[in-house]
Amino acid sequence: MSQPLLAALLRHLYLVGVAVSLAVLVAVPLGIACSGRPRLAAGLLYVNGLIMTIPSVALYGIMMPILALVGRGIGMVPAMIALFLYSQLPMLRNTIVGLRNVDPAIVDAAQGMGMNRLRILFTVRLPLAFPLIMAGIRSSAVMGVGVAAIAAYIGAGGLGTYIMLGIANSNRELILTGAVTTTLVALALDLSLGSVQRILERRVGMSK
Amino acid sequence: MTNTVSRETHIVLENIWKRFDNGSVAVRNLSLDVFRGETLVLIGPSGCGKTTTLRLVNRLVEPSEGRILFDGENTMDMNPDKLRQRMGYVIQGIGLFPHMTVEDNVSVVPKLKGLDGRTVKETAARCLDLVGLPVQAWGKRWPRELSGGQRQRVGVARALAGDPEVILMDEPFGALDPLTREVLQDELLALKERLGKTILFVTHDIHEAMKMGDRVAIMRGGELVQAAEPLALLSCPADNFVADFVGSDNHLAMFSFVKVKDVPLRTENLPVVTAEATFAEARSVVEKSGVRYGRKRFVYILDAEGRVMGYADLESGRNPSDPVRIALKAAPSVARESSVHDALLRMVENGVINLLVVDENRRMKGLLTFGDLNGLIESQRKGDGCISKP
Amino acid sequence: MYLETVSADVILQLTLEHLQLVLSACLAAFSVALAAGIWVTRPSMRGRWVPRAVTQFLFLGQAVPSLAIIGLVMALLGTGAATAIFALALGSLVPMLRNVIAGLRGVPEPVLDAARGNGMPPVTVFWKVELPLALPAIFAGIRTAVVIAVGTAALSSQIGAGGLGSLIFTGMAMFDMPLMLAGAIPTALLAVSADKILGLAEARFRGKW
Repeated sequence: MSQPLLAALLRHLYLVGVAVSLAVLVAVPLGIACSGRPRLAAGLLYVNGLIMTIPSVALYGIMMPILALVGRGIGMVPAMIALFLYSQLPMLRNTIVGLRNVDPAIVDAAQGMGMNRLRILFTVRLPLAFPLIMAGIRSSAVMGVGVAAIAAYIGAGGLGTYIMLGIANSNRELILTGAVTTTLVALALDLSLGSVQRILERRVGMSK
Repeated sequence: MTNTVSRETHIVLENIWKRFDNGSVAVRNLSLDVFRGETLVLIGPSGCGKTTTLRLVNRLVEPSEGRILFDGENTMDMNPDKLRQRMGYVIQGIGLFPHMTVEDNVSVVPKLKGLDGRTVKETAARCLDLVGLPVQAWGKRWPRELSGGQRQRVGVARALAGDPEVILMDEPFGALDPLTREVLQDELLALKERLGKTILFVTHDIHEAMKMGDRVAIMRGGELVQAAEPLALLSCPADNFVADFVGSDNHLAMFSFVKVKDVPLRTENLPVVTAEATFAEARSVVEKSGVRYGRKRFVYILDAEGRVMGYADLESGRNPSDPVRIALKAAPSVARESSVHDALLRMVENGVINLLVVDENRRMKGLLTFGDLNGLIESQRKGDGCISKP
Repeated sequence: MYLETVSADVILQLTLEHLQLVLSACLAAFSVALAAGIWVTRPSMRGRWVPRAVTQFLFLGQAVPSLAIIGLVMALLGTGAATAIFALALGSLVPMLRNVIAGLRGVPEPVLDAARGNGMPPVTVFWKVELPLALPAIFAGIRTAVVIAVGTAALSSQIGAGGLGSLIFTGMAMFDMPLMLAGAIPTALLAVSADKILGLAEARFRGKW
């Protein structure tokens, strides 16, 4: 692989990785906070749902002027922020649903054994919700590859630059390099995170 | 179980074979007659081919070999949709259309048949009434609002709406709780009496089979093992498999199907006297009769018209010359139409080993002794007593 | 272009252009998705290789980023509105087909069995039972696809399709914030309102049963 391509790939992965990780650190605790608070859950889900429907180009377009005020209008910062925001919904929703769907009988048994709520949360409910949360991480990551590709247009670098330049210069080779690698990265993430998800499902006894 | 079933065949399965693409043979050389107006139950262990057989009748599955005649016509020569419109179809999964109201669900077949709007409405109302869900209250409801039992009632109403001659039922109550199941079974039995349709019923529950069926067909491995009335299956199983399956060693179960009038009763030399007879006379009558008793000996007392008045304990410690009527007590009895099972219960409840058999006017018809019943059980155990209804 | 020269008329015109792109692409994609989805879910197709191939295609397809699709289509077919619509249609095909198949497969087996067992001809079973029950899922697919298409259509301005994307990208290139917003905000509004409107339609179907 050529140097610039490798660099772009690494940058792309860095963008997606950091943004998704940060998103997890926020979405999962939020999801936990939502259990037992249906109105909070509904509100957060609504807002995030709204954000999801905004196309990434438009989001970048709206963010640029705002961030330009702090001198961060272009580059990796807006890209990360967008990725972070888009990753919220799948992970938040999956956390909420995953926690909610834990078999009440199991929670009942745990309570009966004398576990307090916090302990039940961390030793019973969260682990059982892991597979679904993992599914959320997976879909955020795959989607994130695409969002990050578009960020090339706001100077974030990454594999999208190949596509962008290729289109601008009608250079078939550039386009193909960019498009193919981006697709492969997305697929690789999908498959690998998918196996992690399946492993988690088996461990939790949920495999079909 | 007292349905008079005509011997006219309604559906005939002739040498039916069904092989599936994966090589499995679901039905092997099955030949079976279904008579008009009867309820025939198909039963057997999992995988015996009973559901496939049912679905062969309405052509949801087509035979690999053999033919099926419906009213004398080969089902393969008919239009499959029209064939099915002539048969009601009730399944375990119920299968109500979730996007249609109860009334619309029931109206499906009449509409398919092209009946006019008014007839369709009347039919739907009538059928919903039959299952206990009057259309005014239930017609506009949605399936998701109903309980399992209510849904299946709608399923039955839907099956009846096309005025079919035959109703096919595939474990219709299998998905319901035991209480609801029993209620629906009883209602179906009542409906059966009223409507007189031919019913082909699949189940895996032997109790349901014995309860619902005029005849029960036992299948195994795709083959028909024995098709007979419940009593015949119990008393005359074709082989050990059938015997085990229906519980032929459970003689008490068999007795539910036998009526007192079907059992040989003692009608002569009975220990009966009139009310005015003395204890001395009573004693000699009882001794002459040779009837065996438990702890106490009784003489039965009839009035002038032969109606039972009661009985008297011979050991009542009276003067031999006293009339027996002074020790008169009410006697336990049993009607000829009662089941032997009930008779046995009465014997146990009253601590006696003989029961008076009476008709509706309390006229004595005979004496049922425990010894006779014992003889029945013995002959079953030896395997030489096949009881079939007269 | 500078903001002074961008009047409300132009924005409106571009919005309509954008809408046209989205709708024609989605219509094309939906026809294919519906036809293919129905075909693949027929009982006669059970166990054959086509449904499995389609499932694989859908699995892979949903991971492909929209920009990559646009780029690839352009590399093969050049620029212009037609290729843009093709690229958009391709992108919309996956969510739509997925939901058509899921919707049709999701119809409970006992319901279909009861329909056929009661003597409904197969075609009637499809129109009166199977399709109506699959409609909520199919509608959800349309909704997802349309929202995605609004975004992808903005990208497609890069390959000569017109639409609001041109405002956004020109604004970015020129560091002309107002111009960019003139494109970005209507695009966002378009996407959100499409989602809400289609959401209402979907709720209407779902609520019934």
